[in-house]
Amino acid sequence: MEDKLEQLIQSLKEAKPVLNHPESLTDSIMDRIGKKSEHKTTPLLIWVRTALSTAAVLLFGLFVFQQSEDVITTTAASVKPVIENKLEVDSTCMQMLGSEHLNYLETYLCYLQQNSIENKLNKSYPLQKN
Amino acid sequence: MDLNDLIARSRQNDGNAFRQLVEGHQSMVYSLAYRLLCNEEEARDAVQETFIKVWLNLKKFDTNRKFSTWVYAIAANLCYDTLKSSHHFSPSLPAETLHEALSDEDVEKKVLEAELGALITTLTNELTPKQKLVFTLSDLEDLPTEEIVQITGMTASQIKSNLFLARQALRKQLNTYRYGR
Repeated sequence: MEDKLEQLIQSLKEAKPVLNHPESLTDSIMDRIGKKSEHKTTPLLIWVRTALSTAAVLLFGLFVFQQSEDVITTTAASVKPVIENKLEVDSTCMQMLGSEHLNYLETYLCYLQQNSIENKLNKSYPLQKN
Repeated sequence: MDLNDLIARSRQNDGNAFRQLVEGHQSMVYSLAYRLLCNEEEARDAVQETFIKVWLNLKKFDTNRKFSTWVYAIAANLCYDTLKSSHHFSPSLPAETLHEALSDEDVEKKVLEAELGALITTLTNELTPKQKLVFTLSDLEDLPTEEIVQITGMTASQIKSNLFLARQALRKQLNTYRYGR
């Protein structure tokens, strides 16, 4: 039995598989390699790709950061009441404007004073003349 | 032009040099692939895949190593994966044909007459992919153990035990087919 096995192994070893049409196999290998090489990326392309990806990530990060900053500002602003005291036509300041001396500075300071009273800021805007 | 020159030029994307490398090694790869997969189409596909991998990884090849061993390793790994996959199909011989072939005193002649792939498949269908790989590399391709270690990544003792189990299974198959099932 041992001899028979050795004989069989020897026969299988000697019966070399024969490759039919080796040229066509070589050609198809070279064709596929050519296609692979076309798709091979150059180092410059890799560098550009990396730089663009990094820039995109940074821009996105900046966008997210700005959005969060806006939310904070809006929230802070909404806490602080801003009451705009609109300058009515019949207001004291406008009446001042209607006088003979057209003094815009005085009118403006008057407006600021009125506004601070409305906002309860208790700030005084001393009238500055000249 | 010697082998090292061809490798060096292929590394610089010289298609003609690589063609010569393929022409010089494709029969060797086909022989291993056919003996493992026992199917001509699958063996040709394995040869193609092997050389595409060789081309793509040529820059990583250590020139201190033997080129054919490196190519064998790529081919053996590809075939091993195919053997393990469920899609692998290899034809086998009818029991009567095999019994007739092995009962004859002149086995050698019968082996040559029989379809080689089908004969190997039928005899080795009880082997695990690992056993088949070791048996093929050692007994059919006649490679030394040190080279099989490099190709498969197994230790020498693992190779020895797989080869022992493969031969044992083969002996059993031979016995079954020679003296009836």
